[in-house]
Amino acid sequence: MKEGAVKVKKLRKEPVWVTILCTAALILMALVMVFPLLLVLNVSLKTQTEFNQNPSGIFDWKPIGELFSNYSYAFERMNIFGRLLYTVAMTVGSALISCVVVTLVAYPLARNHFKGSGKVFGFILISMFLPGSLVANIFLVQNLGLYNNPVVLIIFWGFGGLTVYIFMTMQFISELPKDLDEAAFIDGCGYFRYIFQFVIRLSLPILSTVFILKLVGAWNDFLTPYIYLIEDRFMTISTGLFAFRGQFSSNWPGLAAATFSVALPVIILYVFLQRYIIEGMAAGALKG
Amino acid sequence: MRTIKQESGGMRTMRKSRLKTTPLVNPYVAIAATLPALLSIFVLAMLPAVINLAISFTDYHGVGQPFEFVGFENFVRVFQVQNAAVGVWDSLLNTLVFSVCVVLIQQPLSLGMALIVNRKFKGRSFFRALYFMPTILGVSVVGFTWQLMFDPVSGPIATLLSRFGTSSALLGEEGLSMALVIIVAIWANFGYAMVIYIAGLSNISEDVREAAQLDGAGSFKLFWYVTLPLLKSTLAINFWISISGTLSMYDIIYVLTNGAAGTTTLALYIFKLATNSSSNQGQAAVLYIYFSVFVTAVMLIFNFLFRRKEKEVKA
Amino acid sequence: MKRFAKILCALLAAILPLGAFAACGGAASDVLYVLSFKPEYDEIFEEVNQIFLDEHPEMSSVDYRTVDTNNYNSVFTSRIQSGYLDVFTSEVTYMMQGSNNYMEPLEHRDYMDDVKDEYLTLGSFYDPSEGGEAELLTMPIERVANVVYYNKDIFEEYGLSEPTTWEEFCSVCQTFSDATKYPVAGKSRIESPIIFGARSEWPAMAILNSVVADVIGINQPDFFDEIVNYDTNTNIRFNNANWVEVFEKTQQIGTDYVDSDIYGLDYSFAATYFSIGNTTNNSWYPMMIDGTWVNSQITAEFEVGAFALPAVSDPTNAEGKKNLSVKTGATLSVFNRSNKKDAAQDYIEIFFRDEIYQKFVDFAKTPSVKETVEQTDTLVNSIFDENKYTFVEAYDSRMPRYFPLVSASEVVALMKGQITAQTVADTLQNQVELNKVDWQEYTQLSHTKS
Repeated sequence: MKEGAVKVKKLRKEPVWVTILCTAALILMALVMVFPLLLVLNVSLKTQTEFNQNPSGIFDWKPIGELFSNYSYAFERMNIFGRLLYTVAMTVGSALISCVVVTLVAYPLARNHFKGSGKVFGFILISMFLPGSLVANIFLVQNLGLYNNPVVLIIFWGFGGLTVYIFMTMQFISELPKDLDEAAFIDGCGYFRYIFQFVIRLSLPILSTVFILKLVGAWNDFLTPYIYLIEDRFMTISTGLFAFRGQFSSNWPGLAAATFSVALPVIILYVFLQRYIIEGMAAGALKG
Repeated sequence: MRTIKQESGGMRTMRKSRLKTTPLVNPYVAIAATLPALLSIFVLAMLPAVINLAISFTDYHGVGQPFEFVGFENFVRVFQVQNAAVGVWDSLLNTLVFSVCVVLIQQPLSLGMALIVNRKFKGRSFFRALYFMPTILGVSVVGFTWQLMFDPVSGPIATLLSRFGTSSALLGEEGLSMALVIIVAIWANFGYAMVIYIAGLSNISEDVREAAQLDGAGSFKLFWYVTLPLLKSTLAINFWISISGTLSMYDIIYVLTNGAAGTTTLALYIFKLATNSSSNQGQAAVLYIYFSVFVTAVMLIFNFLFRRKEKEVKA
Repeated sequence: MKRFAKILCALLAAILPLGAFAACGGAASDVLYVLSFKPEYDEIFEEVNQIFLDEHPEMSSVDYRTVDTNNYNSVFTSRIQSGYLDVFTSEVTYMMQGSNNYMEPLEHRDYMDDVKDEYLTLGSFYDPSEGGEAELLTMPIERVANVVYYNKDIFEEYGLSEPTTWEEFCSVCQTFSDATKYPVAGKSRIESPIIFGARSEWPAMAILNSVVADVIGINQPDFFDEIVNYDTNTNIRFNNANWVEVFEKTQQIGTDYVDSDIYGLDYSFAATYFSIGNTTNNSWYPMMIDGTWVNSQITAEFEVGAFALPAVSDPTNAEGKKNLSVKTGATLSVFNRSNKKDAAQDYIEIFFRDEIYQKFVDFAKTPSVKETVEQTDTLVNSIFDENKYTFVEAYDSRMPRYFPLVSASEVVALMKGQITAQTVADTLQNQVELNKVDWQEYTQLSHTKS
């Protein structure tokens, strides 16, 4: 994974002004990224009255319990703990399925294992732009008999919107050495066994990226469960955001706290996995 | 040095579709492996497209409503002016402005930041993670955040402006609103592009850079004559994702301006038409079809141009 | 990396049993499905749910769900297609656009005797294709008015009173826009005689509706009743002098009395900033126009007044009162393919019980639709004063189904001065001509027998 990062002594140190300029750019950009999020954090720590009186001011300091009252309300209202297991199962499950499907299609295409694989790839690319519509999708789900069945989430999240990931994974796989393939096949290793045993393992860097991006997409998607599922037990955490979006009013502090509460698990997961994701992509996800 | 000579597999397969198949592999087994993905595309992309096509020939208004077959009427009607404020052609123009600006600003920016973050220093993975953050936050958080930022009365930007004795409607101001939407779109997406560039950069062997440095190339020359050409296929992927993404982007604009003040892109125009309960779904379906033809055409042109460039470089 | 792979595999194994969920049938017969677009009222409805379950032991649960308006159409479409629906909120505007096709006529229940006639009429529709009497398809729960809220303190400070004619209204606005032309040291203030949530666009319809209520309501009172005779009556044209006047006056309000910076204001901030009043060094806003849903959101410490925007020189109508543009807010209906219609009607009945409905009325600050329940809020009562105003349904609720309407984005563009009144009128008229065949097939639905 670290093959690209061969350590060599630098021949020439970069000039001081370059270092200064780069550091300045780094910090400036970091501020641009962080400031808006701090603003939301600030709002989420205010009471509704505080917000109404001065929407942009800094929150008043309160005892911890009161300070996070919006959060405790949001956690309770959205039933975050009750829905956590189900939501994790659905999002992780569909992200894993995505990884498997993507590898299965990317490997033969990257290796040109059958005639016309280029055309198939072109077809996959084009399919990204095919026009669909909500009415058509509802019609389809009903006729498949999957309405109010959580499997529908797996289908939309796990099997939908794979094109870009197929593209990326193909790039990655085409960089893997072919010798191993041939040796394995000569030894009589089955095609699927080879994919599951070796290709998936070798492509873990890119697959971890696919995994986290699909997971995050599913986690943040609050409309799909609402449209295709009915029962309360089938709702994922982010659907709880609806309770904070009034028809003609908005409880901004509540919404801010709710938004952060929904994002929190993903942020935590991201902090833990970020080495895999970014290093994974960087280690050769898109070898050029 | 291996990586320099090789080109990206995807681009190669697109170019030469008739490569020799490996005799060791039974092609039917290989085809079987692609079936889950192809089936999902068939069910999730092709079937809805067919249903959509069927709807486009009717004056369907909603479930349970009577509707009639109207032939090609919708295909003509969508071009007649429906709304004095914004029409199909306006929104097409907006789409082009939005796309071109986002792509042309975002790509150099993310490449530049990738170059900076790719240097070896303490805490670089922190910065990488930070820049990538908006990607994992999702549209609703991004939209919510920037609505607060751009509040024209007491938001931070408005307060800053008032220090200079001026004020603005920000997201509600014609011309400016498009610029702000573009900024937010870049803010939300540049980390993603940056990571792809980091991938490309980490692939360029240090040897090449050293050799160039020994030859006396300065930082700029090194970048222009060595790094950039080697990043060619990374550039292609990034531009491809960025162009196709921005052309069909509507959610973030919907959250930020609802399409007001000249920010209605074609994708948003169609989305609003399709979700308006009084509108003719047949016309929305027709617009979806036109739109997908448009995006496909743009992407084909992009592929064509890029391939020609690649050949020129080779020659 | 290996450990990561192991964790993934373990998770995958944990996911598989989820397939057990797969056994799910159609709409359950012991669950009442309720869909609403009013998350604001969740607390009241949760109470209704509880009472409903207590009184219907055969029902196992109430599946109550709220969706914001942006996404309501998608979810509603999905529900009616699948049949998982019993009770839903609607709006008269929605019904005009066809959702009456999904409504079961409401049976007569005792609470209806207490409902004021005007609301029963609002919920009743004739379907000429079927003939016969009007059927009560939906039950209004609230009513909202497109009024101008004003800060009485600021009005007093400038020695102004509620304007009663268009000219007076203009001069009041002019007073404020002249008064705000002074800079405060080091800080530019955004001052605007009128604010509204212009960035969200839909509040602009409140302004247009107010102007329509006066200009069309006084100058051409039969316009909306005559629309069905569009083909024969040439006075029914959307680019006639009256409509051009409507658009011109809307434009004048937008360009002259609304500060250009207000066009970036989100609707949920409009009430907030209006409520701040004169106390901070930020800004002050003497007037706010909104579609009264905001009653419960104005938390001002100063005294708030409200008047109907006078859009003509003599806004007194034939009854000797003034026209006030109102809108029926949410209504409750029963889905006509529901398999628990009786239970669904019971559910609506529970909502209208005096003790529940009283809570609702106090919470939502809406006039009561029942005679036995009183609204006590003075501001609300001063708006819905029958001696002072004739209530005119908003323009977009009075149009026949699928009839092309002016969109909120056009109204905002008009108010910013980007398009002329004549353009808007001509585009609308042009659309009406083009879509004539479409909408004529669907115009059967109406409040009045034609």
